[in-house]
Amino acid sequence: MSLRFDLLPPTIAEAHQHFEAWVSAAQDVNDINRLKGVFIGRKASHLTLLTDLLKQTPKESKADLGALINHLKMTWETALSLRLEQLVSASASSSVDLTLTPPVLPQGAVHPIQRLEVHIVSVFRTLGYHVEEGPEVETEEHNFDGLNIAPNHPARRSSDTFYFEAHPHLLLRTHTSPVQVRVLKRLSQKNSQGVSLLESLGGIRFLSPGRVYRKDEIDPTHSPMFHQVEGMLIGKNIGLQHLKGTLSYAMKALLGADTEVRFRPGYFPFVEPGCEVDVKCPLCKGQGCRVCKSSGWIEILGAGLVHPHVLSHAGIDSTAWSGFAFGMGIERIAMIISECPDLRLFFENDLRFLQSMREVR
Amino acid sequence: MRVPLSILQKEISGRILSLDQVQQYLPMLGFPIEHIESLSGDTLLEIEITANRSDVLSIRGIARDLAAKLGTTLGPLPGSSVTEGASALSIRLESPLCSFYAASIVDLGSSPYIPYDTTKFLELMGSSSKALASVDASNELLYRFGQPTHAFDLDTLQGSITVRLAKSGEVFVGLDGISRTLTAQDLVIADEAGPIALAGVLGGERTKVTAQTRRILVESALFDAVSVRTTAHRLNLHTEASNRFGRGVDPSQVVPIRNLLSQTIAQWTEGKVIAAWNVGLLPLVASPIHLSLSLLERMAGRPISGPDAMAHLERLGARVLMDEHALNVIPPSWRHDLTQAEDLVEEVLRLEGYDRIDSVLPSVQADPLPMPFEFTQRIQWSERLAHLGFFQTLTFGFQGPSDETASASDPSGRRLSNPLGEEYSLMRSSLLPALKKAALQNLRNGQAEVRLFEIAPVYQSYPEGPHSVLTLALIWGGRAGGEDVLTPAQTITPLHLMGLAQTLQLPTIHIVDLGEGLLGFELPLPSKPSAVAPLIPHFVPYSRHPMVQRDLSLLVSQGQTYGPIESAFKKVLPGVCKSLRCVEVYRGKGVPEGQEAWLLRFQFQADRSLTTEEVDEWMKTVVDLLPSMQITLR
Repeated sequence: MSLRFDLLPPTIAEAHQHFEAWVSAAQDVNDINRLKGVFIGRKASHLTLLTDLLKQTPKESKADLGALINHLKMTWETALSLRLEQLVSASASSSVDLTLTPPVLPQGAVHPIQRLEVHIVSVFRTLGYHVEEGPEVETEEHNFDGLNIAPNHPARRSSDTFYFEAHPHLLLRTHTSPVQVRVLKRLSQKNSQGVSLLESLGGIRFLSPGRVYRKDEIDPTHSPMFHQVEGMLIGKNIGLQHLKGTLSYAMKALLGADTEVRFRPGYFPFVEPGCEVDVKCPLCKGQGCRVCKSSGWIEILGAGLVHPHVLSHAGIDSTAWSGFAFGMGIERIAMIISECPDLRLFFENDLRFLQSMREVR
Repeated sequence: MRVPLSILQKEISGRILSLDQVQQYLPMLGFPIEHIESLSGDTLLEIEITANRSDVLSIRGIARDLAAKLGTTLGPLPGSSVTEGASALSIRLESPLCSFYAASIVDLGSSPYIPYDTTKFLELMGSSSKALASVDASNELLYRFGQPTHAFDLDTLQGSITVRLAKSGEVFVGLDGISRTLTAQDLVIADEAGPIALAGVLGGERTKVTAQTRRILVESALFDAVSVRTTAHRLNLHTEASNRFGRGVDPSQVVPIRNLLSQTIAQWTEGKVIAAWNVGLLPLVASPIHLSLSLLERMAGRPISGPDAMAHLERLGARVLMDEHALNVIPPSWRHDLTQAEDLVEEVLRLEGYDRIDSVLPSVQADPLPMPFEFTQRIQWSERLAHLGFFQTLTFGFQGPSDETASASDPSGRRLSNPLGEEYSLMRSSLLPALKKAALQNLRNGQAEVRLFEIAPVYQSYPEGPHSVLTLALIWGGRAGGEDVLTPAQTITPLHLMGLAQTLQLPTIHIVDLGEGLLGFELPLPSKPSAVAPLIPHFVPYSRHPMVQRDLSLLVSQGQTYGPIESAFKKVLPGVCKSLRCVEVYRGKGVPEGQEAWLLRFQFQADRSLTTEEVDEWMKTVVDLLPSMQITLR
């Protein structure tokens, strides 16, 4: 049964048409009271007029008009009281005591380690690097053999590396370097014309951030799980000058334009020549302090030219292709930047720590 | 590696080496200085050695690199007048793991003299004088020249000597007085009564030199590096000797050090070297390595002349033959790490100085490749949740058997063979246990509300090994709000998590009650995008006509749920009703006992202006439904 608006006297019908607009236009309590008087007041309002009208209405339309009146009464009353509430709360807020504690919207944070990871990735993205991710459960082949790590190397021992009981050849990767092996193997695949993916791409440059595991007890400088970012570039005629150029740029972008970078010889089985990269100690500015062990420099990453065994293991011709690789510990850099002395804080997930490490905007 | 500056200077003849120079050069040669201290009138340097450089496990080794860098040479090894003769005691090499054994017999004199310099040096090295000439002299030569030696009390030996593999189960009592059971992989020096030394690792108790010893057998030998390392590791017996033999010693030093040691002991004790002889063969000289100058130029980033490269390599002790385009290099006997051309490039550049290498960004022809979905997704989720007030956690990927849920895959496939402890023994099947521990710890620390999430792989067992699934887990709990006058305090309920899921446009989530007021959910993240989501969605026109809002205040019995009522209303309402929500539930004054007042808000919008009459009509259809639902208008 639909409402019989046709039973309304024209004046009231017109007023009802404008009702919503008038209510929205009401600016204060007086406006609302005026509208209340006109529509639902006890004397000479539209509602009283309608109630009077109902008495004179013939029997057959009485029910219809009654339903209509009920409906209008409810509509008018709710709309007016709602608007009144709005106006009251609005006026309340304009007179609020502004010295009260204001409500603060909830704020969370991305973990500082991931923020640093993203920042490192974005620095290298400007040089055209993309991200390649690899699994944390790795094979000995990817984690050690493919990286020119000798079969009897101490790092392979169960005192250093986690292995799986039911799968003796599987381990938790001890570095992000096995991603190098995975990517290189993929790049050595040849298409039906005998052209390798590496040849068709013309080279590659990528970063591999991720979790790594070592069998270390938890203490202020050790953790069984931490994060690394690995980087690799493969191209033609790549030398140490390119590694130096890339890492000098990246360290400045990462740690500030005035960062001084130093390269010195280092050793990692999967690069040759190898280097350690130091930055001038950001705390003492090279004067020598506890953090840099009085040397003025802080070791920040390991790098080198990709060892020909790594390329040939993956099926890539090491006489045609060359490249460099580098790796850094994200927690280590985070600890240097933040001067946070205890690695464990990054994994305890104490909100007091996470709040204090929130991004500064 | 400890290095007293005075001894380092002694090795480099004709050159006064200042501490500043050492500090400047050593790190740039690859040996960072860990620590410097003044001790007993000397300067003691603690130097970090890379694992591949066994030749620098001696002061002479470090001096050699420094001398090469400075363009000077080392002084010769101290000479000796020992002459080799016939074997004075039968020594048989039964195992190829010992290829060469240099021996001597020294009659000890009666002098108890140990030079003060030796005593002081041993202290600087973190050792101490044992007041026995044979032991102190052996230790001094080990630290200075890197060749471990051993002296046996000759009069305690029983019959002839054999260098052989131990018999499985054979017991050996070391100098330290500890008995160890050997395996058939351990190399021993034995007399007819059994093992008298664990080759290259530790001497034996039975034949050790004492103050009463009158005659000694001196040993200077070559033992297989892997064999020594394996035994030392298995027995957890890492000695100065095993550390050096385990990485490879210099074969050319074996005889000179035997001579030097024998003569030194004889001199100190006023005794006499009775015999010196060798058993076995020294290894052949390494074959030459071909180093092309073009490879050197490519790796160095600039041309380095043949003569320059040759000079560097010769200063390091290599023998070099040069032709027009290449060098043929025989590495020195002490450099086991030089096996291919790239190794030689590093040597040339080390002496040239890494600081002289140019710094150039490579020009790469290859196009940059796109970022992988899983990475981008992980970053986007975490930033999104952080903006909504949640904190990202990082927990270890392990869990204990007590953290396993009934629905998890068979844990045996995820079990580590060498975990840090039972609670870290499995690769986790869920992120929630670790997240819950973090949440509880935070509540205990006095946090009223915890909002945590983690994005990390969880593991499932498969026949071929554990598979990872990138997973998002979230915990929300405690009491929110109540910290200012405008935000009322509220307990976190499942409804809060459902609202969050709606905000995140997540499909249905399974909310887990983790106890202690903590609620959470976990869901696997896709490994591929479900559809190619455009950066900016396709434009769908929206209504610019005014929205009409109506509120309805209802009285319902307590215990009535909202869902069915909303569905019933939506069934009779037209599509232009864009939103229907319950915005307030009220019990108390003005509401009859057993009932509550609900404020429902309806919003209508269409592609035209809606008339009041038609909205009134729709609202009436809703009101007409009320009696049948035992709901009254308030």
